[in-house]
Amino acid sequence: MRDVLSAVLMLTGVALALVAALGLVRFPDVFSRMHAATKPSTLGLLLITVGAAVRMREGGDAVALLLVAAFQFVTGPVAAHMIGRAAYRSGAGAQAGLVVDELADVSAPPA
Amino acid sequence: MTRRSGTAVLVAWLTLVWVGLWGSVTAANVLGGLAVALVLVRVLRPSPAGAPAVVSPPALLRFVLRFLVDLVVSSLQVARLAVGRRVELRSGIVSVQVPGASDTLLTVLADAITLTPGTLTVEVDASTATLYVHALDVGEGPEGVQRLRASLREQARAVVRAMGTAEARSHPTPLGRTGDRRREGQP
Repeated sequence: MRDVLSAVLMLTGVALALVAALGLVRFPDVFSRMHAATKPSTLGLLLITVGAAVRMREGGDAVALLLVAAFQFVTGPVAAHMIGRAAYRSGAGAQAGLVVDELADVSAPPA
Repeated sequence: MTRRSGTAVLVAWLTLVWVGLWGSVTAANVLGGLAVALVLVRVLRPSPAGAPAVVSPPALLRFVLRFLVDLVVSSLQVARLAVGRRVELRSGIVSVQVPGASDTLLTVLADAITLTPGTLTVEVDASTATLYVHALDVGEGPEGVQRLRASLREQARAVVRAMGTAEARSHPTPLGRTGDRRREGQP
């Protein structure tokens, strides 16, 4: 029973990671690619760690997995934010394609 | 929280993380973690986090649950877009202001926005507590932008309710009524 639950969780997580990779390739610009790089991969990693934790017999290892998930939640969006910001500032973000750009009104965003 | 006690809490937390990563509570792990934590605090000199957050457990629980649901929804949404046929997306960058928000609160909010459906924080102006958010699809015309901004404000309110500082809670301007960037929905 545990094995089945764990397998389902981990396979779903892996599928999400695959989808994130597909999104990275298929989305048109840096910003939308960052959407693909953050959401499904974060949830995917969460499912994989939970799936692994279900099979663990020792509590200590589950704590380590919990920390892995927690750090992903904190660091993933930060990385995406920094890449998106760098892309915007360098002009590589395909700003021209945006329907609205309220950031353009603020000519020089403070560092 | 004074600077001194803040550092003590940080050292305790770092030690706990260290022990958690090793997976068992032994004297060697605790002492090793303590040593690493002390060196880190000495070398990196973390800046104080500012005004203390007022954590409201029920609001925090609601925020976390809503956040998890949002994460699932946004993952499925991105999955559909990644796998399905190419669709024309009307993406844009919208600003939202969170008056009186501390750095900590802005960080949590920016993080939450990035992990929830269709939105991604690309720029932060801490001096005016303004987040610039990229949306995969802003919808049609000015109404779309306003709807998006309204939902971002709702998210900001949820974070303030969950863990806002006293200042953010009692701020005279209700979230973002004034001082928003104009140009609503101009193409």
